[in-house]
Amino acid sequence: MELTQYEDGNGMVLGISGKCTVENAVELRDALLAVVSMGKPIALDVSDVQEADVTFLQLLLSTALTLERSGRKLERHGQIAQAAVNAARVSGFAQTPQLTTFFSDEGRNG
Amino acid sequence: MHDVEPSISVYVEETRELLSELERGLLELEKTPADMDRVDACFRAMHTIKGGGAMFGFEEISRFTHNVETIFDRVRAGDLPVTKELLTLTFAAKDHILALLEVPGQASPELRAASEALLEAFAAFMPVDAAHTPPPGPPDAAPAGDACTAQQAGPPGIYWIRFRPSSRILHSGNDPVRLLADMDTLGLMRVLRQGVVPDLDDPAFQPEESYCVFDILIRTPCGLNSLSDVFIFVESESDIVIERIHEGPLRGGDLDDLLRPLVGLDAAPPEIIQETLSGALNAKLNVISAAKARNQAKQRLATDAAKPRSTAASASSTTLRVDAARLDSVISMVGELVILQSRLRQAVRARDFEAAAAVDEDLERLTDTIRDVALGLRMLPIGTVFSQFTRLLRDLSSSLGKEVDFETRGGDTELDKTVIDRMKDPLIHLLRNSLDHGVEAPEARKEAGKSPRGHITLAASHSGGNVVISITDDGRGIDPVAVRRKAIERGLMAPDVEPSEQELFNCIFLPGFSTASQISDISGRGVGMDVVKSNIEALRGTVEVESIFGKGTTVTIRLPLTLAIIDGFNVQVGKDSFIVPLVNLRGFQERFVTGDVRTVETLERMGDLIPVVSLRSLFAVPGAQPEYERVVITEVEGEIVGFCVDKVVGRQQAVIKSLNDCYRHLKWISGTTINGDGSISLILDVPQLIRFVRGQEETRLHGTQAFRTLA
Repeated sequence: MELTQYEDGNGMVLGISGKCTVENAVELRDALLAVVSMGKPIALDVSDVQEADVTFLQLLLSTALTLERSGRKLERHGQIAQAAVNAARVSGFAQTPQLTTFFSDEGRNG
Repeated sequence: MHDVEPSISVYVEETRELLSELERGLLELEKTPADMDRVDACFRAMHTIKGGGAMFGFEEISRFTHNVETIFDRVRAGDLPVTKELLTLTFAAKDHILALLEVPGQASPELRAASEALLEAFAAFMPVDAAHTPPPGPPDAAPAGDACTAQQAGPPGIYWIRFRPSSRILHSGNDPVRLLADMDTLGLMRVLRQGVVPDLDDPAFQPEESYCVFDILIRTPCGLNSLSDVFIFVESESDIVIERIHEGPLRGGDLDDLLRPLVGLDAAPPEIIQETLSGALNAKLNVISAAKARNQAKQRLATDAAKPRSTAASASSTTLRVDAARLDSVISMVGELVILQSRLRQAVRARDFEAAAAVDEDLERLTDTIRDVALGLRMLPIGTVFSQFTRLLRDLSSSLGKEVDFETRGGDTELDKTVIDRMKDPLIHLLRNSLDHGVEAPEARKEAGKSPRGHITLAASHSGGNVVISITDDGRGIDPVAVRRKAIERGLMAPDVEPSEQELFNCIFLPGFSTASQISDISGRGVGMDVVKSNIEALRGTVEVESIFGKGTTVTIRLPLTLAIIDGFNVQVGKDSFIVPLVNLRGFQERFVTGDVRTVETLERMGDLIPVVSLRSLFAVPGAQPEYERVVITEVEGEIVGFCVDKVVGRQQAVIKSLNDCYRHLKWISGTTINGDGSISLILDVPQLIRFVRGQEETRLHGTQAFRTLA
């Protein structure tokens, strides 16, 4: 799994790509927590996720919930990888209220 | 249940199209019985109809089509040959499915009996070898994957599954998402995920653990075993409940609705969940059957007014299939329109005349193109109705004992959809005429030295802004002597008159006329041809007959390409402005007038005397009679009539606006149009105008009832 981080005009972008599965779950949680703690608006670039399991989806939900506490919303940067879309669909995460927009079809560009 | 009705009507539309396709395919198969691709196409059409039938509540269609499909499968496999009898039976099956389409849900006992009769007839075609016969299983509508084994496959069932993975499930290499993906291949699945996921900064949050519980509803033909196999490696640690809750078709949206009441019940025991589901299911099923009943009632009302199936005339629908590329170009041109508008605004603000003139030029180009493309959206190739006719003639020729080859040409000629819809009946009548009265029986043909098979050609083409449709047969033609006799008999013609051949042929279009000595129930009752003609004239078209007695007959119909715009010449009388349609126009002359002018006078034209009508006199236009007038020469059914006007302004393409219904009795006005300067022109219906004048003259000369009243 590769993580990239940069600032764009609107805030922080965290790029997550590769195998987003249980063996990388802790590392991903730490990265997400760090970026959330900066206090700025956040967008996630998940356009290159190759594999996603329940840990990845749970972390997305957790991030959305955490952001909600500080009045922020989980935004998506760019298109969403098919692997992530499929995982969210069969597991019902795509219908979880905090994540419906994140997983929706319209490609949003940051 | 908000989307049951619209999707049923979409299924009905699409199935109608599939059935038309099927019919076309069968007609082709008749000509080339060895065409396996064609057999394949027919099989696929039936397969799609069957699947959709199960999904949308047309159970009888699904059951019936399944069995017919089985036969065609044998044909595909080479076990059964394509024969005329098989095809005739398949045509009957297609008609039957069309009838079943009218009544969703439970088919009536009569329809079911008809199904059984047809299926029995089909069964007679099956080879005696019983080992080959496939099990007549109920069709499966669920898109099941290969995970279902043959023994377990059955009618679609709805299962509820609760899956609460152990929190450490990932540690043993299992992933709930992957298991759910496996489940997804077994059928139509909807998932409700619940369970609290901690915040990122919660020290108790273990990212490697599972915090979820899943409630799943799946529609699948697979059995319980296939479903529990999915969880085979995790069932010892995780909580899994699988229950079958319903048998029968439900859609994805229905499953979503059923899951909704389970929100918040993630900690509830299975019994509570089942109870909740069962309540929601009953409510849902009640809504669905109520909607189906409403639909059935609606369909029944519609079919009460429908014609018998064998005329192959499908009701014209209010929806239209439109070429996406044309639609896109209209949309992009509308975008350009917006740009032009802002350019115009700038030019006006800056009082820049030249810029405004440039906008005007661009606007003219753009509106011309938009108009053409937009009108083209309603255009359909006439070939879409040609295939219905092929079927009609096939059935008709069989019942009349005549052999006929039917050829169609120019099927890709495009017409306005309304024109096509309204031309179907007239064309059917004309074709029936050709077959019934035109083409002779094989023996009679042989005696006349013709081939025993008759030939009927239906051709369509574009010509000068019109569509020309012709029906030609090589039958016995029209006997002018018989026509004259009948016309005199019915008082439509004076005995001492010597009419031209064309005038005799035109008698056929008079009401109550028929030379058929034996009125068949198909045509020849004498109510047909005049209605055909008035239908065509209502579309601003013309119809002509040519015939050589003993050789054949040709009926030629000319129609405008579109009903919305008319090409004509703008003429003026006093302050009134009129449009004379180009289709009737033959030329212009002039005349000089002295003294009083009667409404109808004569004028010399190319050695003949033609009647001319003074519009000023006819319409009592105020103002002085000018000494010099232009005469607009028109032709209607071979007859030349001139109309005298003050001025011919020029050629104009007029967008027709209909008159209000209260002016309906003014038949000689087709409509009105708004000219460039904002004034209004009346568009003249020349044939009707001539009739109007004739009627007036009769009343004036003979003091009798006019030949045609206006009311």
